[in-house]
Amino acid sequence: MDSLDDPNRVWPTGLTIRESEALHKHVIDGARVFFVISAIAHFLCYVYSPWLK
Amino acid sequence: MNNGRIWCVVNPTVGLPLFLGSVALISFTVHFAVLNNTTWVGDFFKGKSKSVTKAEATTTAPVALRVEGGTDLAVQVVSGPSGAVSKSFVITVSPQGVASIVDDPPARMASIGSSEKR
Repeated sequence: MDSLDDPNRVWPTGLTIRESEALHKHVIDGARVFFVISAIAHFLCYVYSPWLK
Repeated sequence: MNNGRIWCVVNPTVGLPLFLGSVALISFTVHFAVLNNTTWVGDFFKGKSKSVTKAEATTTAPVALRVEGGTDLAVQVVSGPSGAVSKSFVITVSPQGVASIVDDPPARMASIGSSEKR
């Protein structure tokens, strides 16, 4: 098996591929939550302020 | 997941604070620029409502009066302090120093402000 795809290989950061992907899932989920909250905040700001008017 | 292996080569203790810090810094910069380039964000932070801001934007044109001796008086209604119902008058006398209303000779303007006098 190619060492790049070895699921048991511990990479220089100390994580395996599976651990890295699990961590990355949290990062992406957090970014999505942040995006939704900021989209709502920008919409309210557009409606209730002179922004872009 | 796309780029899911990034944490195999980027240490999360470095990469995550760097990523989150960059987002916060960019957001702060953009909002600070908006604060500096508009009036209504600062007004909002000071607690002014949109309607008050709009009312203050409508200024009353000064009324010019000419009295004897070539002295001009300009009377302008100005808004009182933020949130106050009262108005004040600014009376500009020109040319300078010819009217007795001017107490301080170097001053060109005599301001008569009161909540009762309209």
